[in-house]
Amino acid sequence: MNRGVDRPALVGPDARGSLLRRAVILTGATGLVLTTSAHIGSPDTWFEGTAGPYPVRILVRAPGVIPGLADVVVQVTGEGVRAVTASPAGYNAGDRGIPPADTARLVPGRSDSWTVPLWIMAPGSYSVRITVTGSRGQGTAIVPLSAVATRVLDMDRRLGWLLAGFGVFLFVGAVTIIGAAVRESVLPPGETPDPARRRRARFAMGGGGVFVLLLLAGGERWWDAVDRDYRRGLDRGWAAAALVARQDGGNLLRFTIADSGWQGRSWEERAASPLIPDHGRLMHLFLVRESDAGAFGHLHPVSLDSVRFEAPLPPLPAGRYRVFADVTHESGFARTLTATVDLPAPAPAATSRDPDDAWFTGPTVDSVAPLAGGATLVWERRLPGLAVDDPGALNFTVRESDGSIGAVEPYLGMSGHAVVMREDGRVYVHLHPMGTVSASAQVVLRERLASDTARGTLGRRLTDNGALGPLPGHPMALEGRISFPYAFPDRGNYRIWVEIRRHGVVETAAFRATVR
Amino acid sequence: MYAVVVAAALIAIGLTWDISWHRSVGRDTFWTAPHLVEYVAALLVGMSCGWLILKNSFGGASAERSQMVSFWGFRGPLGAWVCVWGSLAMLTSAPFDNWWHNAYGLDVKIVSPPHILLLLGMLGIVAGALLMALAAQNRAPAGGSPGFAATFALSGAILLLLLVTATFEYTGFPNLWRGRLFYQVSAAVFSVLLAAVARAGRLRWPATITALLFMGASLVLSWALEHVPATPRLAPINNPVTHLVAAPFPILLVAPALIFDVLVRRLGDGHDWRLAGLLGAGFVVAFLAVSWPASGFLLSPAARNRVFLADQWDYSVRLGSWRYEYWDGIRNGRMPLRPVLSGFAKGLAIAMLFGAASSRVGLAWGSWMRRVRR
Repeated sequence: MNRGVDRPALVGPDARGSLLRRAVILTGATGLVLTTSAHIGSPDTWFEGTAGPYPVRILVRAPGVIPGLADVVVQVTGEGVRAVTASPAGYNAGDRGIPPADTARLVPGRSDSWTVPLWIMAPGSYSVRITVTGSRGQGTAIVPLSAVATRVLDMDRRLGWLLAGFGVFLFVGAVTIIGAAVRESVLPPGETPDPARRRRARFAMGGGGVFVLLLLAGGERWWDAVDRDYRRGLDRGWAAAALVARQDGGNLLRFTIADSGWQGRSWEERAASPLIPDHGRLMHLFLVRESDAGAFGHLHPVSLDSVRFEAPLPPLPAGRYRVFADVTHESGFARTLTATVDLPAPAPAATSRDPDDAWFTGPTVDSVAPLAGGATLVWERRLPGLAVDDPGALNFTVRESDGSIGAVEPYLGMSGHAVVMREDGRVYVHLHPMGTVSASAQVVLRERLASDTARGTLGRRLTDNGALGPLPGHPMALEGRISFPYAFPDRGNYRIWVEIRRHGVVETAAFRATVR
Repeated sequence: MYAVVVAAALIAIGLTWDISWHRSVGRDTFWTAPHLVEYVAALLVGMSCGWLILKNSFGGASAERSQMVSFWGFRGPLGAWVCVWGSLAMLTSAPFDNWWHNAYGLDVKIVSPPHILLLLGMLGIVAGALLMALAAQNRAPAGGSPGFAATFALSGAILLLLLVTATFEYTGFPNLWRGRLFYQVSAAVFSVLLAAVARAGRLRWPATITALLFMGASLVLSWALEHVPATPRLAPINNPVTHLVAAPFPILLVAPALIFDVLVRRLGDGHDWRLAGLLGAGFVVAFLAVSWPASGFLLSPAARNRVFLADQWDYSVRLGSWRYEYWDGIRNGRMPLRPVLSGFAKGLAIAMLFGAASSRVGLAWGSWMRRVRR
């Protein structure tokens, strides 16, 4: 019953302590990290916006294990903040289903950052509600969180030895108790056991030992079964495929969502709710040449039906490309589908395209990228270098040819877009100045009414009234300083593509960086 | 010995409270009150038995020492050794369980490998208490040991409470009381203890009294817990409860226990195989005769009050008409299925076989317990 929206089938939610949680993590237990849905290899959620009158930057560190604890860090700009609270609201639980908010503590040594752990009990789409109270009143920010289980914790070596030691002791103890029970327990006080009794005790100990070992073997198989079940419930990327078709002298990219979770006659049969447009487009598809990441495309395929999408190909050079397709479900669950595709040489006659499609084959630079008309896009890199988990690294400035700061125009509802990819394709994320979250996920989580029970009704209403259109529902700075709240999740060589619109034209700049 | 029995009772209370906590509040750290009760009890047992063993190993009157069993050169009562083993198993399960939850997430299941280890530890402590009471009962002259015999019945009741809790997912809800699985699990798990108590107890109705004590303790705990205010603290909350969710009305083990007492006394010793067969059949018939009508009552509106404890559900479940339907089993939380009557008779026959095998083991265990003196 109650199949949840967009949640992989996972073993049910009880609970027990987390005494050693930190200890286990700190002692270097390594997790098996697989791809995650919302983005690839980049599990944390970043959000920059406002909670009422307070500008906030929020980081939700994914628990990885579900049910588990997500760490929320809230940075509030300005004075007079008295309290920050947070609570997770499941998409389907309704207003009465929100647990009492947890009060955040100040981060030690900081006066503007607050932190609080939140329990995420089941996979799925959540709105994390962050409420800031202070001298300017109260305000709430809604951060969409697509919670998925991504890993199994390996056992720490020391803990393993400790448990194994206890286990051996308990085993020997159990066998000895069996022996003592047979040998002496029924004797009247003062009598010593005769040789026959001693012999029987030894037999009993042998038999008991074998019995306990059999129990342990059964336990081992059981453990394996639980482990297998859990790993099966881990988030896996959905199956998808991309291919190229010729049509009217041009090339079309066809993208298909081939996953079994997306099959079914009706929405109720599917494991996920319908797709909704984000920045006015149902799908944002990115192409990156696999060999050298030297060619990049950002397309907006239109849907032929619920599984097939199609877009005319821009004149990208031939070769094998990685495909990343970002979609948002009606529940607010954001998902990235991946595939690879072999592109042929560009067709002579290009077919008509979405004016917001963009592609780039120019030079990759370290910090100063050329734009049209002699202007540049400058990555304000800090010294000494980029580090894992270091926030605030992605700040860019548009400089006109005379050195003044230039302006940008809205592109797909944002002042800028950035795509961050590690060169091996194992890390991928699509960023905006508002963070990693999908703008329309925020809209659906805010606008959902109790009556929106049938799948599709909420998305249709919000599409019809324009709430999910390309224009943003929030103010944005269009002066040429653009920063993306993000921290690199892992070491490696990265590419960053930044897309902005100036004078009606979308321009792309490509940067490279090494993160240590 | 009394310290150990008190600790055993504390463990049972802590466990019941803990489960109720998880069904109502959800939020959990190691440092919740029910956990503290459980682990303080484990420490109490470990230390008092450890002290008893050390005292008898390195001193103590020789009359006392002669009532002990030796173990790696130490001397102590058998029950104390079992208790020490139990408390060590409980303490081992804590870090194991903690790791488990970090690796696989917090689970609502009672039956998981670390929980089984914890439960074995708890069973060890209670069984140790039982053995200590038993040795005292058996050393005392016949007819002159009502105190020890009552302590034995009490320990048996605590053990029964633990077993019922362990099988809660298969037997706990009245919705299950018309399914085959309920009778099969009950016959397999409870017959062994009832048969052993019926044989080894020196009270007039040992199994019956043990079952009554269990039902009484369970009811008192539930009646107390449901008056404790509680608020769910974990999303998603599909059923906003305002007080701790208590366990449903306890299973009616008193009926089969009465049959066990009668049969064990009637047939006496020496016919244990035949007796076990009768006990298996008797268990199922007596249990069916009371559970079937009782489940009808407990699912009716008349039972939805604080006395009969019906219709109390976890904060995380979506309420529905399944609450008042019969289920054929539970998997992955609460999964109601259509009422299944087909194959019911065959299911009951299997339950009788389980009951007979379980009773046979129980009788052997009881015969041994009757002779335990150390």
